Amino acid sequence: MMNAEIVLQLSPEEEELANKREELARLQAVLADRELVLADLRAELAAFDGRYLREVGVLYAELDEWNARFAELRAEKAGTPEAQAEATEARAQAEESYSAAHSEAAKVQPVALSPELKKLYREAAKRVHPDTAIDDADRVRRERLMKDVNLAYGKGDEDALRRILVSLDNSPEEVRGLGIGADLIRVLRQLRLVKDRLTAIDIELTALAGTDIALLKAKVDIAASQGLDLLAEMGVDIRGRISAVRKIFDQSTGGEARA
Amino acid sequence: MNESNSPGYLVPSTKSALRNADRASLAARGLADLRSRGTAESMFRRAMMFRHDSPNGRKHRHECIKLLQYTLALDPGHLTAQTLLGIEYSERGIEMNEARGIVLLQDAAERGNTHAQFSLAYSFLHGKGVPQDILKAVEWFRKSSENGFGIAQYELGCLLYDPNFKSGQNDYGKQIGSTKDNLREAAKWYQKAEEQGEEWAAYRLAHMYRHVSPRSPQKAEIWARKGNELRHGDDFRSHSRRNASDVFSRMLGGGVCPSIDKSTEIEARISMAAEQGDPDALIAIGHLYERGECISTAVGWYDRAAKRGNSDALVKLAWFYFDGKGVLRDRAYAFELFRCAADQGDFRAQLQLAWMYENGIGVGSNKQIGRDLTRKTEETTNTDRLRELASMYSRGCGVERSEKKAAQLYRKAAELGDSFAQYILGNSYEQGEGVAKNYKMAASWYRKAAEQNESSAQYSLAILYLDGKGVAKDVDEAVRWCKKSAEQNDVNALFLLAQLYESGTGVPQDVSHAIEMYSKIQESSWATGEMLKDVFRALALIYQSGEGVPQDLVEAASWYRKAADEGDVEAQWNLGLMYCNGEGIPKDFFEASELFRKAAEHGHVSAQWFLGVMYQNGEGVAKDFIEAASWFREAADQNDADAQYALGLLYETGQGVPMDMEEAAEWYGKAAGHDHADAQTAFSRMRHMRLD
Repeated sequence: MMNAEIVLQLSPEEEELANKREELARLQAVLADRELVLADLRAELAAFDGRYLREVGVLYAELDEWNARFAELRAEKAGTPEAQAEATEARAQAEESYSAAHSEAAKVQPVALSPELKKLYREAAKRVHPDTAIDDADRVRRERLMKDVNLAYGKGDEDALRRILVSLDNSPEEVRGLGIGADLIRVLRQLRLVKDRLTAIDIELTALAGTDIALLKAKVDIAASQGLDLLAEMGVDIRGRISAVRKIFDQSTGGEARA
Repeated sequence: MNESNSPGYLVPSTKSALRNADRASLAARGLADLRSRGTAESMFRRAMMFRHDSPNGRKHRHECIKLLQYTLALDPGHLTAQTLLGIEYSERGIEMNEARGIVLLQDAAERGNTHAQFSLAYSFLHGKGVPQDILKAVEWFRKSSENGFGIAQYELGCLLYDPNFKSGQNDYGKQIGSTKDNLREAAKWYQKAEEQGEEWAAYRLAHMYRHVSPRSPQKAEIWARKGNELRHGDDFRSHSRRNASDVFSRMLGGGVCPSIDKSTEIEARISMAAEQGDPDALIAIGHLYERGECISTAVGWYDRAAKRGNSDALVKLAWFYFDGKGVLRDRAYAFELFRCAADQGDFRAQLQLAWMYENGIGVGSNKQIGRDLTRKTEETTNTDRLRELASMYSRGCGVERSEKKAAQLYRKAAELGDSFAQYILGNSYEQGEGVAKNYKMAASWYRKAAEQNESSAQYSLAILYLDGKGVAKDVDEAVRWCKKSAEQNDVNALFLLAQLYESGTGVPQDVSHAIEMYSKIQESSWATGEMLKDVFRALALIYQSGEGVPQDLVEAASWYRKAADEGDVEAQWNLGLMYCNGEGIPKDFFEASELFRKAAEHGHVSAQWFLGVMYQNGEGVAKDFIEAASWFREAADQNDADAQYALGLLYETGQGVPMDMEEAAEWYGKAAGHDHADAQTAFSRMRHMRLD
């Protein structure tokens, strides 16, 4: 009788632990969703950045190249330190624009983020999340895995996500059982970490939305909803400027430029 | 001006190096370039320019649509732009995309834009881009009406009052129903629409009072009158008053012309007279209804006068039956009516009868009778009648238009000694209308009329003497005739005389005399708006220059203001300059820019250029290179060297336009061709660069 009562009635610590575990599970689900939102935004912006660099960035790079050549020509003719400084600056700009326009970022293609992919990501994020690690070694492992998860998601690689999930299934069972007090402390710490991560995600989302590329994307999206291809329009503008600079350059060099 | 604001000659490399000293990322550069295209509002304004001034139709519409799209891309909350774009898509038939238009309209309508609500309702009413749906049309008309849109209120009234009236669809009536509540609501919306100046709403209200119980002919009358007033505005009121005073003076035996202030009293007297069956009064009222397009009512009034044997009314009535306006067309009856009038000696009716005989209309064809009648009519020696006949021929009114025939009849009247006909004939010779151009003949007929104190002829003769056309040039003679005409308060003569006094031509220079003439013109009721503009501007110039009177800039500014308000472009430009310099008025760049804009929109080249400069410098307006470029272009296209140079500068530096050295060189070259020194320097500099 007494024993049965003890089994049925949880001690206050146990009750607290159960409550906190429940809350942790709920927040981990929320966190997985938020990670997904963040990953989606990152993927979208990366894809847009790629398109922008391929369609417009290369034109800026071309414009800067001609500007640099022209500045160098002027410096050669004028020979003044100011002209030389201008030429150096223009060349530096041209190189920077070139490497930006031909960077890895420019190769990113839009990915079809299928519902299946999203489901896999949510599942993987929930189970891998570094913030739920039991100790430091575990956290390092989870951080590495989370990076892989994000990378696979960005590429739309469902198989990679599945492999990660399988490897998690095969890893040894979580070690626990150091007593209720220690468990409670660990759960409370995990809760704290999950909440911190949620705040961090919100901050990052806000920051991402305020980046130049995001602002640019917003404008391009709105224009697209009006039936305008803003990137194409920008391209026309820059091409006009390139041809203007080229004309002056050609005129200044005579036949040289063509040769 | 250009000196201080010239952005200086920056070659592109220097410029981009300066701009990118902090090495903005490529995305940041894209954003900055997009922003430099202008604000949503400036895009919208440019779109409106293309929407209203579309001499080239399609291309401009295309431009307008594109600019509206940009406006929306920059400011998705710009509902007016969205609505206009929706209308362009769905109604204009160009870039036809009804479904897309409807999406835009629907969205703008749901976000509360009254114009969009109206257009959407209209689309539902006529099934444009959406399935026809009368109930949805009513719903959206109602929303727009509740937001106070007058036309929507009128349309809604019409749908509720008589659903088949607007739509021509019979089953609409069944869908909406025609309950008492609907009628009450229709009346409510009609009244609201009338308050907003929708004249047809007033007519429809009058219709309701006439045909729907409880009927009230009095109220119908009141509403019809209101409709007339709205339809014709002040113009109609003054006309009906003039008409009323004519009738009144005729009733009093002529010669009396009561002042306009008495018009109400006159109107009251007319209705009294009409009740007693006075034909002139009956015709006057019929005329009011005719002007108000209430033709069938007008016919009723004319009919009453015609039954009393009035020939004017008979002719009027005959024409309504002849044309089938307001009544069923009945040409045989029209013929009878014309004959009644002709029997009373009405020559218009005689001419019409002759024509009907010749062409066999309303009566068996009989060319002989027709020709005889025409001859008989024109045989008259009554000069008033001859003049009126001539005027019918020259206007092609009731007869086939023939200037030659008109000139013949004028000559007949002129030879019979009618001074006005002599003047007209002189004018025909001067203009070569119906006769060969002949200044000698013109002068001789003008002189005959002038000697009979015909003031228009005296003025015209003065002009011939001034120009030495048809007579030996003789300034003294010109002044003599001009003075005679001016004594009779002929406004043209007064104006000419004022100018002679101002310049001291043929008279001693006397500006105070000129001012006196100008004030006489202002008092005259014959002065047209055009003439008043000239008078205001002339007075402003006198006070501004201070020649002959003490210079008074305050006075000058106030005259310019009057002329500018009348729409005088030159005055707008001058007043704008005074605001810029703070002459006679406090310095005010904003006011100046508004005046320049008005003048510029009417094609004033200097104002276009100056407005461009103001946009370039951000004086009186927000700095906006795109606006600056568009005004420079307007002026440059009209060959203004300053504007061509300024436009060249913008192209060279890529401000407000894409950078383009060839365009720049072209505009510099054009300006240089007009001896513009800065442009010549710039042009040779660019040529030098090419040769370099």
